[in-house]
Amino acid sequence: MTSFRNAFLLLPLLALASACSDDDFDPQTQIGADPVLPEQQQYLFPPMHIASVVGWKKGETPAVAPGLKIAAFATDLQHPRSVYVLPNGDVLAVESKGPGTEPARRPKDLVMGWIQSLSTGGGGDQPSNRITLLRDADGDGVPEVKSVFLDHLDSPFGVALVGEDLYVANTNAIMRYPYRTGQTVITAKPTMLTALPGGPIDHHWTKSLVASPDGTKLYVGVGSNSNITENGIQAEENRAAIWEVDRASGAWRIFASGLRNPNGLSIEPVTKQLWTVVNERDELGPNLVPDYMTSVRDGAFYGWPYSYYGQHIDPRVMPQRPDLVEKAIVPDYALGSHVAPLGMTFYAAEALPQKYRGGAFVGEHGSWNRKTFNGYKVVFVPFEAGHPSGKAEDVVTGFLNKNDEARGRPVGVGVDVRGALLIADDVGNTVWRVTAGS
Amino acid sequence: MATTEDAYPPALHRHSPPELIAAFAIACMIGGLLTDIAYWNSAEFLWADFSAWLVSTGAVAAVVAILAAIIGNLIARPRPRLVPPLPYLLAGTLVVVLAVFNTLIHSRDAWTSVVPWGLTLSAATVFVLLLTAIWHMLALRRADRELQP
Repeated sequence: MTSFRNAFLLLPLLALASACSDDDFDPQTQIGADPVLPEQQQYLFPPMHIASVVGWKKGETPAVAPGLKIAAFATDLQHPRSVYVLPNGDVLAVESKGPGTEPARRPKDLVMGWIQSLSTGGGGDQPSNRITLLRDADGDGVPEVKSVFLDHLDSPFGVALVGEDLYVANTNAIMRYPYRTGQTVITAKPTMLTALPGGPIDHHWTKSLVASPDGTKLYVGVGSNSNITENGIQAEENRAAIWEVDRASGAWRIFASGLRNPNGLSIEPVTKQLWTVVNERDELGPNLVPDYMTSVRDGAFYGWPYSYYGQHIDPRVMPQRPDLVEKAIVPDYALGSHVAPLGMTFYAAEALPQKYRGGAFVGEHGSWNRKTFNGYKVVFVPFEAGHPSGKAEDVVTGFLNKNDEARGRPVGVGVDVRGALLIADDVGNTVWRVTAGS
Repeated sequence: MATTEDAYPPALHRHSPPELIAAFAIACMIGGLLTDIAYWNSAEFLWADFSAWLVSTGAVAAVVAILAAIIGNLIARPRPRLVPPLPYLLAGTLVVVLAVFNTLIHSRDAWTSVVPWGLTLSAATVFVLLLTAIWHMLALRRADRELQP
């Protein structure tokens, strides 16, 4: 891959296209409430720099911030994308693969698909799309029970338990299963609560899920069907939005829109407000558009596709909608361009050092659309009284090795009943567990 | 006209493979300009997809045609010509450069894959093709007059 990448960079056209170096821009200026937004830049060919996959060698782990230690909680999973902790302490690892229903409609899709397959190949074709239950009853960080909890799912991602109703957000529907505490396998047939926008295309397929504090509603993240409407605005109906689903009836409405790819839906423990992390648009430059985390206001419009960070208009969308751009609101907290946040969890436990209490952990899957990698780590955003109160800091790093090859990539994050941070690593096929210590 | 045909050596009545490939490329480029105009007028994404295919296919075919012509000239006995080859080579090179840039522009997403630069390059490509065709016609006519004063 490296030689291929170098050969690719030698292409004079590509060099011209990415001549504007992203090295002299400080990514730190794009973290926080008021990110620096440079001029837009459109490419002759978008920079594609994806870390080739080498995986974790025996004994290797990511690095953690001082005062923390990390160990593999479960290995040999198949593309784990999110984690969910049941009240009795059992951990659900959601192993999931994309539906693969996006056709190559343009020559560009063929070329990009080919480049991506070169760099992320070797993912294996083992069975995925299932949920594995991991039980570590004695709390030593090594599960004694590992069982297939649910199988033959349809690109699942979000999980939420309310009472004895377990909801799984497949890419095309929310399914409800009966769950009794202690179960290690669910064999009961599910009931469909609500159909979700899946195929055709299904560009952003992960459906994040969280229940409202009173348990009457479910919030679902539904990502856009394109980067920036290149599949037609018709394909975006009811997408790039967070849905509010009534748990009793399955009826739904758009709770907030203009959110290109919302994931990591979580309830902030102090204000009880809904928060999300969002993947913003690509191919406007190495430092545009910063991905973000934000509280989600009922009825609010966050810009996609017409604009970003308020009224910054995207010239690629036609016809434009000045009426919508006018009311687009600025998200709360930028995380950096192309970091690809796919998981978020608030830390309401007490086992980790004091400074982590009340803040949010964010899993950043990592960039492809800039020369210098961004993301590929788990960061922590401190909160005070329910609002971000400082710069994001690195908590778990080292997913890339010294040669910029991917040993793993973090996705969903969660907190187990003992207060440890859990991280789903889809490329490393591992769930990591971070505890206090050194 | 029969007398004119008889005046030319038989090799001139045949189309070489590079010429046939070039004809295909030219058809793609003209088609790409038309679908660009359709997208410009409608903002209907399907036209942009058609443009991307036509423009890229045209560029690939044009590169193949030029390479085939160069190789053909290197390995084969030079064919008799009615008009000098250098202007063709220059025009062909210009078209290939325009088409390659146009392909890259057309690899963008949505509106700016066509407007303004994709459309402009498509029009420029077709304009160069048109000038070359006119020049070719005039040159042939001059050759005719020289053969049959």
